[in-house]
Amino acid sequence: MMTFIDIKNLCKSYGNKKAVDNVSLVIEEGEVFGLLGPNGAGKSTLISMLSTLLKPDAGEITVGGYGITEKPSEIKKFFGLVPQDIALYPTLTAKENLLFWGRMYGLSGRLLKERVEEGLQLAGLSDRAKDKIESFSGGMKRRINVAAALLHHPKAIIMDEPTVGIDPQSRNHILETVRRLNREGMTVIYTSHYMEEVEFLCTRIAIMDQGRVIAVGNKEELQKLVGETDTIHIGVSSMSGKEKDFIEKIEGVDSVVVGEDKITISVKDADSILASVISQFDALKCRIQSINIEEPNLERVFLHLTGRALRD
Amino acid sequence: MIFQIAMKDLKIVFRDKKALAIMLVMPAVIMFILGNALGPMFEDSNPIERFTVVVVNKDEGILSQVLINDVFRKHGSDVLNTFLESDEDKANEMLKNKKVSSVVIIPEGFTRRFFEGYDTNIGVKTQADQQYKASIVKSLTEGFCRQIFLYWAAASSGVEVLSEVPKEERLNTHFMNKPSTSKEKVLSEVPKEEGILGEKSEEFPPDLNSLMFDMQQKTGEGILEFYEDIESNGEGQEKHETVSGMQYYSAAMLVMFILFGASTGTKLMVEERQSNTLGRLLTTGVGKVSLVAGKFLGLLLITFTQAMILIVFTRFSYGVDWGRSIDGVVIITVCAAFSGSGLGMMIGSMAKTSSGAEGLSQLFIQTFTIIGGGMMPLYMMPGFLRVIAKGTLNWWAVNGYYDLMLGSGFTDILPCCGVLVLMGVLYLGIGVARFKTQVS
Repeated sequence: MMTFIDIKNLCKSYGNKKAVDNVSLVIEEGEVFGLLGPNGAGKSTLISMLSTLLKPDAGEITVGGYGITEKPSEIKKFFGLVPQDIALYPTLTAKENLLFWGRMYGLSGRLLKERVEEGLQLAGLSDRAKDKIESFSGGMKRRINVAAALLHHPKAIIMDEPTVGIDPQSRNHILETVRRLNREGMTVIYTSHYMEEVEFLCTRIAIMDQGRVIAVGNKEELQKLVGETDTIHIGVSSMSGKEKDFIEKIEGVDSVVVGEDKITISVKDADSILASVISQFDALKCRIQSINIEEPNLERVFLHLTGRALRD
Repeated sequence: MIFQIAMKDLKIVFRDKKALAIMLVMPAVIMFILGNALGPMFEDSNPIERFTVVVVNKDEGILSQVLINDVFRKHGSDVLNTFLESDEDKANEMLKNKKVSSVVIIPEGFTRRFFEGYDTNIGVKTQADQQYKASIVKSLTEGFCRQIFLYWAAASSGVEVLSEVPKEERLNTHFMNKPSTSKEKVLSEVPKEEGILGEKSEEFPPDLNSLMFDMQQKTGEGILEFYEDIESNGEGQEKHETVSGMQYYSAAMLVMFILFGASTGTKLMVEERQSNTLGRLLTTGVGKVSLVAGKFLGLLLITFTQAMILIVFTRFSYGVDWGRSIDGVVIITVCAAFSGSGLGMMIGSMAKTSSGAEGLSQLFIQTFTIIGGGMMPLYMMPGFLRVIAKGTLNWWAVNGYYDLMLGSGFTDILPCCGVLVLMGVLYLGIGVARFKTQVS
C-alpha cells in the first residue's frame, strides 16, 4: 500500500488548551482509518486541519505528495468532507442541495445531473429528490450529507461522526455505503466515539485522548494491549462458598474473583471452557441467573490506556 | 461560484414564507397605515430645509433694503440664508458652482420705479433642480411688494382724508372718489422705522382694509414682474414643492425594510456558519474571497429585489409617485441595498448566533430608522438630531428618494449615492475582516 496521508508532529491550540498535541500518523491509500476517542479528544480539530479548514500551529501534513500549507487547493480536490453537523440547506430540496454542492465542486451540465442522480441513489432517496431537506428524518439528512461529499468522486472521504443521533436503518445504510466505497478503492477517514462502528469498519485505528494519539494499529494489535483473555461474568442467586476453589481447578482458568452475587472468571478462551464452568455450578447446586462473556475490545483498550471509559 | 452562492441565498430567502412576510407584506401594510395616518402632518408643514440666497442689490432705495432686511433676513429666516453680493457675475458663478441655491437681482431704480407706478422686475435665478426654492423666493418678494403697495395706497389715502375730513367723519365711504395724492407726498409719509409686512394693515378700520384689497385687485397686479432664469441641468424636470405623507413613508419604510431584508440574509449567513456549512463550502474549492463575495452579492440581490418589488407595488397600488427619473430610483435603490448589505455583513460578522444576529439587526435597524427620519420627518426633529441623522444610511437613502420625488434627476442624487456607497464599503470592510477570520 502507498502512503496517502503523512502527518508529522502536528499541533493546534485554542488559547491555552492543546486541541491536537504533537500527533504523527500515516494513512495508507485505500484503507479505512478510524479515529476513536471521546468528545473533545481532538478528532474534529485534526480533521479540520486535514481538510485545510484550519492551519496547524506546528507540524506538517502531506496528502498525495502535496504539502497542506503549500498546495491547499490541490489537496481539497482529493477530499470529500462529511461534517459532524448537517451542512445542508433545509428549505431547498434534496436535489437542489446536491446540485448546489456539485456546482461548488466545479461540476456542470450533464455530468452534474448524472452525479446528482448517482448521489440520490447512493443515499437511497431518489424518490424523495423533490422534497425539502427540512421534511426529512435525521437519518435521511445524514445520508444526503454523505452523498453531497461524494459528488466530485474524491480519492478520500473524511467522515466526522456521520451517524450521530440517527435511526438504526440509516446508520446501517451509511456503514454499508462506507464499506462499499472502500471496496471500490476509496480511502476513508472515519471518526467516531462509537466503538462498535470503528471496530466494524476500520482496518486501522488511532485512539485519541486529550489531543494525543495514545495507540495506533489494527483491531487485533490494539486488543493485545489489554491481553488476550476473555472475561466471564456469572450472576448467581446464592453461593456455597466452595465455588472459587472448584472453578480455579478447571484447566484454562486464569483467575476467579467472587463478589456478593457475581463471580468474574478470566479465561484464555471463554467458548471452550464455559460448559465446564456451568457443570461445576450445577454440581454445587448453585443457581445461575446470568452469564456475560466479555471479549477484549476497544472499550477495554481505552479503559486500560486512560483509566476512563470511552463515553465518560 | 460567487453568483451560484448568491442565487442560492436569494432562492432560500424568497422561499421562506416568514421572511417574505417581513420583507414584503409588512412594509406594504406599514407604508399604507403610516402614509394615511400621518399624511395630514405633511399637508400643514413645509419640510424644506434652509437654503442660501445671494442678493445682487443695484437699487439704492428703501424698498430693496426692506426686502432684504425685513423680508428675506427676518421673516424668511426659517428657510433662507441671505447675503449680499455686489458683483452679478460673481453671484452667477456661485450659482453655477452650486454654492448658492438662488440669485436674486434687484434692478437699479427699483424703489423709484415702483412708487412712480412704472413696471419693474426682480430677477430670480436658480438651478433647474431647485425651482421650488426659486418659487419660495418669488413668493416672499411678491408678497412683500403687494403689501408695500397696499401700505402705500392706504397711507396716501389716509393722509389726505385725515387732513381734510373732521375726526368724527373719518369713517366713511368717500375714499374712492378722492383725487390722488402726489407720489412724493406719499413717500414722505411712509414710516421707515416700522415693519411692513401685514401688521400695519390690520390697524386700519375694516372698511379701509376692504378698500385696500379692492385697490390691490384693481391696480396692484402687473406693477411687479418676475423673470426667472433657470440654470439648466439638461433634464428640465418639473418640480414639486413637497411630498405627500404616503410618498415620505413609502421611502422611509422602504429603506427600513431594506435593512430587514439584509438582516434576513445575515441570519441565514450566521446559521450557515453555526452549522459548519460555510466551512464545508471552503473545502470544496471555493476560496474565502469568493465565499464572502457570494454572500455579499446574495444580500445585495435579496435587498435590491425586495426594494424594487415594493417600489413597483406602491406605485401601482398606492399611487406613490417615486419621481420621473426611473434610472435615479434604480441607482439610489442599488446604493441603499449596497449600504444595507454592507451593514448586514458587518452585523453577521459581529454576531455569534442567529438569535444574536437578529437582536443586533433589530438594534441597528430601529436606531437608524428613528434617528434617520424613518418614523418622523427630520424637520420636526431637534437640530442636534438632524446632524446625527447624517451618520445613518437611512437619512441619505430617504433624502435621495425624496429629491427624486420632488422632481430631481439622477445626477442630483449622486451625492446621496456616493455617501451610501462609502458607508457600504466601510461596513463591508469591517464585516469582511471579521468574517474571514470567523469562517476559519
